[in-house]
Formats: sequence, structure tokens, C-alpha cells
Amino acid sequence: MENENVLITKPHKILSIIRHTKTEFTFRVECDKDPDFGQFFMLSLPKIGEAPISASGKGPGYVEFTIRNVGQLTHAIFDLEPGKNIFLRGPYGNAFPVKQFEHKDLVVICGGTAMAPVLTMINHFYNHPEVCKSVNIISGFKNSDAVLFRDEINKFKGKFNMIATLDNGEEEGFEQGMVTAHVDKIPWDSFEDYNVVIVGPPPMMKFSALECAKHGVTDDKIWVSFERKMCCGAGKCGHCKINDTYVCLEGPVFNYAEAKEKLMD
Amino acid sequence: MIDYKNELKALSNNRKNLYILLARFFSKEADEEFLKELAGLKLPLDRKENEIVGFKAALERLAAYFEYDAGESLEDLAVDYAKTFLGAGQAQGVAAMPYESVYTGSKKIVMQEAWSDICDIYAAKGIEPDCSEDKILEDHISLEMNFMAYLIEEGLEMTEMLPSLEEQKSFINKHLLNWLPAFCIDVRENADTEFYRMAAELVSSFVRMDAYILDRIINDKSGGIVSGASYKCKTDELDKVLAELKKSYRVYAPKFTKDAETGEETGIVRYQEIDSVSEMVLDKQSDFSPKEVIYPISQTIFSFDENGVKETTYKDPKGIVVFARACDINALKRMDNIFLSNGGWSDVYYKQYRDRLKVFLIECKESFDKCYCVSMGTNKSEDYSVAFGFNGDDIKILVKDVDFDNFFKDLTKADYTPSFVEENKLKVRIPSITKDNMKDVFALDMWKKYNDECISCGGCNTVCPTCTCFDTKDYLNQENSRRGERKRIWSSCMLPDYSKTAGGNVARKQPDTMMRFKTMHKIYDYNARFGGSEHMCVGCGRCINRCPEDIDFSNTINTLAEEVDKLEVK
Repeated sequence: MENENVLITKPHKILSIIRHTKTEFTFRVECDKDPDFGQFFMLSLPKIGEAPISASGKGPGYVEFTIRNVGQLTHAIFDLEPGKNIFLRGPYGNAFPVKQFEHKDLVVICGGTAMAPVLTMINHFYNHPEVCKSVNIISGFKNSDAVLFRDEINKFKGKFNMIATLDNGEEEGFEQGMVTAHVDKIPWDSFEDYNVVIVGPPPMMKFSALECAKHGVTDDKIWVSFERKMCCGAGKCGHCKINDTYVCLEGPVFNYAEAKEKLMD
Repeated sequence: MIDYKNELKALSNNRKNLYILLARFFSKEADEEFLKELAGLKLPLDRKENEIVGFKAALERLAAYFEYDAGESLEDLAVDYAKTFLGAGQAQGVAAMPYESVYTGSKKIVMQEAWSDICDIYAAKGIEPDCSEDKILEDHISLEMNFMAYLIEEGLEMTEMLPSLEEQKSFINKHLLNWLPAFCIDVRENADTEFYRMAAELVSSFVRMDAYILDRIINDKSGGIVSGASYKCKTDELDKVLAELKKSYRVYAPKFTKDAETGEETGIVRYQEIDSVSEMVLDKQSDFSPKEVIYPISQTIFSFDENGVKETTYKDPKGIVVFARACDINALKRMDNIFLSNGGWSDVYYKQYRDRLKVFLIECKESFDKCYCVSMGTNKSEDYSVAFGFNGDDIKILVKDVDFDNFFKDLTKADYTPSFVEENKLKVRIPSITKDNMKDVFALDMWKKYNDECISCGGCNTVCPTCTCFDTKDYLNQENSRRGERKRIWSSCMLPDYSKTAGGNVARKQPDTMMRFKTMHKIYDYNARFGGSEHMCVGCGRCINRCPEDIDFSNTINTLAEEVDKLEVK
């Protein structure tokens, strides 16, 4: 057994901050780690606490985290300025099976901040457009004020079938309605072999999968990522356990056929 | 981390394949194909273990058999096989019957106690070896060796191998090693061919080597030297021993807590350090389990300021002695699995305590009201350093761990082995939950009633000897201070906050789903993950005593068992 103390966290300098909305910021943090697509870190601020956050971007010497100001911890992080420290440990968990996506069509359906955990993967395909036959993205936001990654979305439109949509309100370049309303815009009939990635709140994942099923998508073609409370990120604290599965160890990415059968709260 | 795991996997695969190959010696007469496979067997001769148990010599003998033609035809081998292993056409005494029963029972015949034990073991795993074709019995050497291969394969499929390794070790020690050496001596003496004499040496030394390898992998804490001396004494004599012990150990036992202000006893029994034997509460079950000794309710994991953190280490040079009952000792094994094994890393904080811990068994003269340890298979334990039978002022002691010989050696010698409770008033039946009926189990109506009955206080988790979940929380040394510490604190799956993410999503909101989660963990999930025959619940019954709403967990288990039966009927 490895005897490294997993719970020990280390300070990392904030290099820059992108303010997407009033409540959603991306922090670029000095870090040599190279997280796989979909992996998460345990982020913390001494005095406030610790929570699992997916990496939304990476590059030489840095990792990015897109954080929504919803909890105590994230609230405190929003007061930070570049040059200050965020504490990190990780990366943890498994990753999207990107190798399996190669030379096939790919559909990504995500809601709100849930674009963050799939963003590094989408950027990977953007930088290597020869890898997938096609990339189709449906990304939903509550309203115009809640839109994240506007620049990325516009960038993706250049190479991908990029559908951005608003649940409420209007904005140029955005469709209207929930993500589920746009599933029929995916050219399913032209696909030979494909994979679907769905990331978002549990009901959104469920209804998106149902909508996909109407187009003949079987559960085994769908990949989901779970968000759970975690206090250790490595199989001890118990919070993320679902049945005999620990989301931090065997997840957060699951094949939907497996998740539907095995992971019931 | 990964390398160790892969190395273990490769080693396990080799072990498995060897069991299957060597089992073939005894499953039927040798044929061309088997000889070819044996001749082509390439094994590294230079492993350290090979030397120790004579496996190296056996391998050299195997190589020599094929290098220098022994002049034995397939027909010779078949005749010898029939004579030696089937006892064909020969008087008794020159055969080596390849059944465990023959070597372990007093009557030297088949189908004795060992055979029925083996049948039970296979049944528990849902295996039905096909014995009809070759007219062999379940405790035949080839089936037992193939079962070892099965156990190894099972271990390879588990996320965590440790419990499987323990199970393999136990099967080797209780069964294979219990008769194989004697059987192999018989083969050596009675077989007419070098082929089968060599086979006996090969198999016998291989199993011994495998036991050695397993031991090494499991890395059992002590050297395994058993003292075995037993004594009797009076309370005042044991007090003197205790005084000596306390110089090198912190000694914890069940004891009444005192009110912090008045200093009066509260009637609550928890594990605390003791100064004299009379402080121990033995006629009442402790309200809390001993887990708080090695896994504190609240524990600082590091101190911090804005620039970094400093790990908190446990520096007490003293060892820890805990007086515990069989159920709680079994509970330790469950805690070990989570803290030392799950996720492939050992929790440093738990390990610091665990490595210092020595367990003193308190013999249970009789079961308490709410115990159901017998149903959970946790009424017994051999995992202790010293055992105590308390009977008023008369105390009997068995020292197993040589580390403690010196403390007890001046007491009066006696003949004592602890006994264990064999029956409880409360009995539970474990529901037959499977991956297939799990959805229906989740949908059962029975969970709903907990929305009325359970008040989500989490008391059951607090007193449970196997609940290990924790939260982490940061504390400041002073308000507005830059310095503070992060602590981990016992958590409870019966509280809604347990499954609440930062975004406010709560996976399990109501007591019905929380109770279902806890129940499944205690009697299904843990076992499904770690394998073996153990469940997380050890049947101590503390949660029943603790519940302010009189929810009886044994009742929950039994009701679930009935409901699952009904599902099967449907």
C-alpha cells in the first residue's frame, strides 16, 4: 500500500482570473500536473474548506478551474486575486475514454457549468480535428447572463456543429429552449458509429438520455459524469459512494448502461 | 501504486495457472498433451521462496524427468495412477487416496467432516463442481486446487484484493496444508513411477511456497509466533500487571463516563483509559464501540496558514491496548478494509493508531439483549494478543502474542481457552440481494415507513463499530486568525448534508433513502465490493439500543429478507 498522505494539500499560485459572469469565474492556477480529460482535483482554501472541482483547461505549467459561486468555499475563492494561493491535491478519478471516441462521430450535451469538465476534451478535438469524424455539441444555459465560455463557443462554431441554447430569453447566436429540444438537430442518420457525452444535473442527464433514445441511441453509447460530495477524493470518506461503487475511484465518468443499472441513490 | 498492483496481478495470475496445471496430475490419467505442457513449463528457479520450501528442488526434479527419459510409458503411468489414487486392485495401505476427509478424519475414510466443510464452502460461493463424471468427491485434491485457482481469479476481479488474499490464506491453512503434506508422503512411498513421486513433491512444495508467498503479501503484522501460555489470577494481581502494561501502553476499556462539571458517573459506557481493573464495565455492553480509540471522533489532520500546511503526526511512543469483544474485533477488520485498502492507499492517520494497536479479547459469557453476532458470523475471533475470561474476582488469561509473555509470566499457570457465544436471542437472516433484483429491492415499500419513524439523528452511525465516514472542516485558532487547522470528524449517512454537493443538490433527501443506503452498505454493498463472506454489520446491536425512535436494525434486516423472498416468488 502506498503511504503517501493523500489528504495533504499544497498551495498553488493563481496566475489569472477570467470572469465569465457575476457568479462564474475561471481560475488559471500554476500547476505541473497533467489531468486526463474529465478528472477532478480537490480544491481548498484553508479556513473555508475543500471540494472536488473538475479541471476545465490545462496547458504547460497551469491547470484551469471554472467555478460557480454557489457554496461557502467557492464564495471565498471569488474574493481572491491573481498572485494569491489556492490549495490543490489531485488529479483524481477516471477520464472520458477519448481513445474510444476516435474515428467516430461524437455528440456532447452539457448544461451550464457542466461544460467545464468536458471543455479540455472538446479543445483537444478542436486542436486535432482529424481525430473524430464529427463533433456535435449542444450546450445549454439558463439565460443570457448565465452564458459561460462565449469565446470558446464562437470558436467551436468554426469547426463543429455547435448548438448553444438559452432556457429563457434571447441572444444572437443562441437557440431557444432546453438542450433536450435540440437533440433532433443532431444528424443521427448520417452516423455509423458514435458516442454521446452527457454532463449536467441528474435530471438533465436523465431527460437528455431519454431524448437520445428516441433517435435510437442505446445506453452503452452514452457517457456521463457524476457530481458528488467528497471529503477525501480517494475512497475513504464515504460521501460519494453509490451502492458498491465509489464515484471518486471508479468514476466520475461512467458508461450510462452501467450507471443506470448499478448507480442508484 | 500502479506498479505494485500490476505486480500483484501478474503474481496472482502465475499462481492461478500453476494451481490449474498441478491439479491436472490428479484429475485423470496423464496424456500426451499434459506431458507436453509439463515439459514446456518454464519457471524462474532463482526466486528466494523456491529455496525455502524445496520447490526449487522439485522443479529441478521435473526438468530432470524430461531431460533423462525415465522409461515410463503412458500405460505405466495409467496403471500407477489407478493403483495409487483409485486403490484399484490393491490391498489397503499402498494407496494414497486423494481426499481431505481420508487424512483429517479419525476413520481414514471419505465423506467425513472435512468433506462436508468443503461442500459448504463451495455452496457459499455458488459453485457446483461436477463430480459425477469421474466419480470423485468435493474434497478431492484436484477440486481443492482448482478452487484455489477460483479464489485467486475472484481476487483478480475485485477492486481490492486484500480480503481475497486473506480468504486464500485461510483456505490453504485450514484445508490444503492440513492434509496435502501427509498425502504427498503417501504418494512418495506408494507410487511406482518417478512421475507421480515427483508430482507429489512438486505439488506439496508448491502449496507450501504459495502459503509463504501469501503470508508475505499480506505482510502479517507480527512474526506469527504464538505463545499459548495461560494463567489465572485475582483482580489485585491483574492490577499489578496493568500498572506494568501502562508503562508501555495506553490501556483502553469500557468505562462509565463522568459528567464534566459534577464529576458524577453518567451511566454511559465508552472506551477510556483505565487505571484499575475495577473500572472496567463488564456486565453491560459499552454504548460506544472501541473504534473511537483508533479513529477519534474529531482529529486534526494538518495545521495551515496562507502559505502552506503542516501534517499532524501522532508521536506518542506508547502502544495501544484495547479490551474488546469478538464483534468489535471483527469490526476492526472492516475498518481496516476501508482505511488501509480501499482506493489502493493506506490512510496515514488511521494507520498511525492501527499499527500501535494490540487487542485484548473480553470473553462473552453470554450474549447481551440486542446482540445478533452469531447470525453475522462475528461471535468468534482469533485475532487478539491476550484473551481474558472475567468471572467476578477470578480472571483467566490466555497469552497468544509473545510480546506480552513477560507481563503475565509470574501469574499462576492454568489451562484456559476462551469460549464464544454460540446463540443469541436475536437472529437475522441476510436477504439474498443480487445485482438482478437490486432495482426491485430499492423500490420496496418497506423503506417508506422510515420517513415516519426515523428522525435522522445519526446516532446509529455514531455508535456503530464499522461506520467510518468522515467530513473535513477547517477551524481557526482565533477569529480572524490566519492560522488554523483542518479536522476530520465522524460523518453520518443518516443526515441530508451527507450527500449534499456545493451546488445544493442532495442525492438522498429523506430518511427512507438514507436508511436504504445504510442498510445496503451494512449487509450487501461492502460484501459485494470486497468479496469474502463478511458483511459490514457485525451484529453488536448498539444501533438498536441507541435509536431514540426504537428502530430495530435486526428487524430491518429480517423484514428485508422476507420482502426479497416475496420478490423471488413473483
